[in-house]
Amino acid sequence: MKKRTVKFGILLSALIIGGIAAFVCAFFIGSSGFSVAEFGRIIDGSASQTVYNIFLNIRLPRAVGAFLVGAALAVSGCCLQGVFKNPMADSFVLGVSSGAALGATVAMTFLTGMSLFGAGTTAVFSFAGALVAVFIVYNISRIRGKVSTFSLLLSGFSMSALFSAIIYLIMLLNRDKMENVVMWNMGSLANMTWDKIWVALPVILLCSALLMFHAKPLNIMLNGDEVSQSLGVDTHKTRRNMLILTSLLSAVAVSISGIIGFVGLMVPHLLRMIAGPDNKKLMPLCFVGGGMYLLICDVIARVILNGQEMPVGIVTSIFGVPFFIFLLRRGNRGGI
Amino acid sequence: MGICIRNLDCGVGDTPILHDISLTLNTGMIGIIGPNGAGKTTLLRTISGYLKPERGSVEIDGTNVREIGVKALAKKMALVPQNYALEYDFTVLETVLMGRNPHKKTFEGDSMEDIRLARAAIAKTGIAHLENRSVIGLSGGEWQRMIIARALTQQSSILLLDEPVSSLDIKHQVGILSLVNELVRDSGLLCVCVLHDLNLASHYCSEIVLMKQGRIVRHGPTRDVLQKDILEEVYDTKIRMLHENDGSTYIFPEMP
Repeated sequence: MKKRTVKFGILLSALIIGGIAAFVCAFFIGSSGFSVAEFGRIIDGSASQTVYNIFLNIRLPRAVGAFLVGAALAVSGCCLQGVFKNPMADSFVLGVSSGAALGATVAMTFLTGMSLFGAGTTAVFSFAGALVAVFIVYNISRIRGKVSTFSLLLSGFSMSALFSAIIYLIMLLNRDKMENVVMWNMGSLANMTWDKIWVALPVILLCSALLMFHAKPLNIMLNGDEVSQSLGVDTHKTRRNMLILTSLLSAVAVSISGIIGFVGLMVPHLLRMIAGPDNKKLMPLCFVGGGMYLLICDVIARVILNGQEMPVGIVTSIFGVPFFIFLLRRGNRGGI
Repeated sequence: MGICIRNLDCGVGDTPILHDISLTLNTGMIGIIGPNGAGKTTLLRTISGYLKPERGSVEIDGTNVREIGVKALAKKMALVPQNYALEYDFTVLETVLMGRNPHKKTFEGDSMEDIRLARAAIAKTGIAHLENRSVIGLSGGEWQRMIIARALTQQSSILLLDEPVSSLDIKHQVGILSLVNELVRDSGLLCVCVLHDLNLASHYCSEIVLMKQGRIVRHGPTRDVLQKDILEEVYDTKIRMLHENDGSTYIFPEMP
């Protein structure tokens, strides 16, 4: 079988151009329509305060936030599929989503209106919940000092089930808060602020960059532990580093956006089908591609229901799944 | 460059497998043979540093393999594992280039020299025409040649092979082992090779380590170890040996 992959440079350029186009769309499309002329007035300082606010304090942070969250979810999904050699892996299998959801549920139910470290309690508690969940999952699965893929996936699934049960119990006992919790669980970028972005931006950029530096050992680790070690890769250290970085990356993304499913699963697979399995190329592509995909989904979420916002997590799945299935049926490239 | 194993006990999980193994291996092609469950693969995995011994040590040039860093060890020793599948479609060249990893700094990319070395190894193993092919879809023989090319690209002085030809047809069995034998002869490598086929071991190995139930039964020159009475006892079966005029020996089980 001759290997055919789209050239990395061409694909990355296409995604960057697509990302910029999506960014421009996110800027101009919304419930209040704005023209290019009004954008010009913002630049020269003659725009009204309302226009200024909508552009710079609502749409711009939302677009930046969408890109960052999409990029973070796709890069962490890509890494975890490689670390686990499992096509179903994304950051959520480690318990990130259920831990974050439990943290957010506690905050929204018992700590409404409070603030912590200058941020909303929901964001802080979901971030903490995600990290605590990963810590518990990691320690449960560590047997004789070693963490096997199998035990990690199983403990991740079982802890997620436990956290979900606790969430349902809290919701059942506090039915008045149920809608907030459900909406958060569907993910939304509507409440994105610059404050959230300034906290998330350095974490997402730093973790993504560090993960990209692990691309080469991750490629080698696809051969399995024994062969990887014989090729000079410290598999335990690499796996531990990557789990820490992906957990931080996805925890910070989830804490500012709620749970947005399918991006971390679909975007890496889709790009792997097009560009092949080399993580050195795949991770940068996932960063740009994941960001672009969530930006587009967020624009759709804002306009598809006339006058009412749809949680972006619904859009990512409704539009992503059919396209994904189409590509899957066309023939899987790049392996899983 | 040699391997020195002292009083080695090793197991997998709670099951003890190797018992009090002591062995010194210096040069040439050493065959490890023995019936199923003798502990051949476990011994190779302990030599490679993958398994931690419960007692005793494996040393390379006087240093315990468990105390050498993973990268430094990979510079000294390359592994050709039992058949395994790489389910991602890297090209043959990309896969062979992975062999350069021990020589690279953590975040260093592949240089032109690395690519030259990988291409030379690919040419040596006779698969230059497959360089840009995906590893998915390679035949068993092509795959095994690629893995040997990767091991050669590591430029280590010890080569560990775990049943390298067990899934190949007779043509490829002879092809692969002749290739390895040539490399051992030309480059002065130490090659430790787990084999099931006694005829291949007899033909290609200069020394044989014969194992049974986690212990070494015999270790010495091939001609001394592959004796009818010794093999019959270890394999617990009747054996017929044919000695040809050219000095080669063929070993068969007595058919019932």
